[in-house]
Amino acid sequence: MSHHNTGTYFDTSQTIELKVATAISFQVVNPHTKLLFVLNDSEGNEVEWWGATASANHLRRVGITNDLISSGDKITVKGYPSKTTDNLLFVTTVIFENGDYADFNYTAGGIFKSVTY
Amino acid sequence: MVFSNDDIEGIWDFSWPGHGIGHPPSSSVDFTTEGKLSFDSFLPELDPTLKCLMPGIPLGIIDPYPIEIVMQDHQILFLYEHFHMVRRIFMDGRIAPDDWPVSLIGYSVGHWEEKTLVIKTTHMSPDNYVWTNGMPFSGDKNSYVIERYSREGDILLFEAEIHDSVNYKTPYKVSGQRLFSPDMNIYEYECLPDFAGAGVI
Repeated sequence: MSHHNTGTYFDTSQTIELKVATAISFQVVNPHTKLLFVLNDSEGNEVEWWGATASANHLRRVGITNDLISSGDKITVKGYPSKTTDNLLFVTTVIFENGDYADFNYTAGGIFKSVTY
Repeated sequence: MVFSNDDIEGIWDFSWPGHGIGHPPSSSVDFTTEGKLSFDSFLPELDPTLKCLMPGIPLGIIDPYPIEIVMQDHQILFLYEHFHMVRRIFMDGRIAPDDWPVSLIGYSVGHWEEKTLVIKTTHMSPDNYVWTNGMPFSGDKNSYVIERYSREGDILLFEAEIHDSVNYKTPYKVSGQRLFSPDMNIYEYECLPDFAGAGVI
């Protein structure tokens, strides 16, 4: 969480990468921004995931707003898995189909072109 | 513009010093037996900010959001972007009334020691925390927090001692710095309860 101690709730020692997911909704709000998406499991079933990340106030300052992700967008989601809850992660990065990516670090994050990734 | 070192009015962004956010590692904290038990049994739903309540003091001292400080003759106002938290630091020599209710924000009085603003806060709630990793705060009637703020140019250095003998054998100490940011905006911070727990509670 942006204010909260991320390591208390998420395993910051490992980063998982979920691809390719389909976005359902992206809500930049306080105290935690929420990303809902679905991912196909190994048997082809759609599994709903959600991600928490920095607050609206922090993301606004690095140029991230609700417009970043739309329903239906194909995205790769990276982040720290929850210690307690299935299919939940703390989102650190979202990569788009064209290779551009959003870094949710609220001190140095932002939206970047793929060439720098 | 040149500022006096005892002029701390204005907007101050949180600044990340090289040593991180300014809390000691939990392994170095000098817990009492009760404090260690409380820390080890921490549940996220006890964190007030996960219920859209303000962090209060001491939790809010290190808060990675901008603040605005307003200096008046009788008080200094600390206006926090985070959760719209407002602190009144009384500078006119008053003391807390006996019947002052405990709260997340407590009751703060301050004075200057040369160029350093010293704040003492009492009357804090047992619902408060020192840090969101579960570092406890008892709210015992003898507990108090001392903060010191000193300006060095565009940097506001701060340190705080949390005196809570129920949980800590020696005062728990935090420190950090803020950067003078007169052109920064203080945004509205509306907290939506449906998003506060964020899957951890």
